[in-house]
Amino acid sequence: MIKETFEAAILTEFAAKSQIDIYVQILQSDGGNMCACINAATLALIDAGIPLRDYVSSCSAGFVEDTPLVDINYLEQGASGPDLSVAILPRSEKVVLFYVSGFCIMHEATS
Amino acid sequence: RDFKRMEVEDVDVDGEICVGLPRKRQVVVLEHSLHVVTPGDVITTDTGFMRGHGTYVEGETIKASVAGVVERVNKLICVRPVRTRYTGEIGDVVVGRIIEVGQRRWKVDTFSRLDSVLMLSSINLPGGILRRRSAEDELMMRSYFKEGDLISAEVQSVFSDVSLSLHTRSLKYGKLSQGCLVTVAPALVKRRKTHFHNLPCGASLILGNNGYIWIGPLAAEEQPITDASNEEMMETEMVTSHRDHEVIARLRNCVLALADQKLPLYDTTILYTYDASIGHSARDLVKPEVIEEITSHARQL
Repeated sequence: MIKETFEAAILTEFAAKSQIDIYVQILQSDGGNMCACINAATLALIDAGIPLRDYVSSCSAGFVEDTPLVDINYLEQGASGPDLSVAILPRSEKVVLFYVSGFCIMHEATS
Repeated sequence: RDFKRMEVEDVDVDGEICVGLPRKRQVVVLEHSLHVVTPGDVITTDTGFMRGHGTYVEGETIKASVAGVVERVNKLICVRPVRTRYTGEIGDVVVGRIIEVGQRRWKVDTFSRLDSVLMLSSINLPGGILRRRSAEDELMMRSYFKEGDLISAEVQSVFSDVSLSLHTRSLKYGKLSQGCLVTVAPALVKRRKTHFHNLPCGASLILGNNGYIWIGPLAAEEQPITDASNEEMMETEMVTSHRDHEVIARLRNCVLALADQKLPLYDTTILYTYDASIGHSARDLVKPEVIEEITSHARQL
């Protein structure tokens, strides 16, 4: 999933015939792993000087008992609500990753 | 949000920005403002400009694709990233490690995006013989350079896919042994007239443009190398003295100290740092306070 996210963000025509490996090591986690990985990988790629279209910012959202929450942690992820991870290119306002697990009622989704 | 200006007390002559720990960071006033950008920043919406490295075009705007400083040469706009792999120019001196022995070529690691290539026809045969390379030469390739050897070479040309072609067609290039390799960021080694230095403290220094620095003992008087096997015997029999080892170790730590402070590496800055470090033992040179102290003279250059 991280691979697909960055395929949209890295300008691959400038890195012909080469392979870019992204290694992410999670030292400690309290939920929101994928979002943290994507944010960290963005910073690592910028630091390495690999051409990117834009930053890739990512955050998670969810629902706990009728209250929509942003940046849910491990306990909130465990609750039986949906878990939505979104990654966007902020300046171009494009969504590069939209991952939902679990299911939710329609009116909850729109809020 | 175009220019970042920082105010303070000490004026740094070159306008270098010190990126140290927050408590040690000294803010510097820049004589000329630097246009610093990050990926996605719009550099210009003027259609009259051409895009260079580090930028891409979206519609009519030129945007930055890396984090760095914008450089403008007439109508060409490019962004020079702060830390990136080595991009070679023809004529650069590089130090590289042989990774692979291929068909009539060696693949060399020079810290660039793609491995560099050293063709069999681009090396000097031992004894200085000039002849066409034959099939026997191809079979003997491993006796000249094998995997893991360090070599110094010059960039002969750049292929269309940005990989470099090296050559060692001069007596000063060739296999390196009995010394120490230090890797720093390529941006710290500027292009100069000469990259081979014999330091008065008793060591020889090769500043590779790709950030690979070689520190070795002073070469003994030139001896003609008759054939490859003789050369190898000479190298393994050479024993470097304890004093040489100390000088090399101290120089290595000085180079790392300068790299840590993001100061450019010249033979003069390395020498000043070395002289300032005499008071400390070689082992102490990795401590941050000592690094700050010994690089203070070099910083003023």
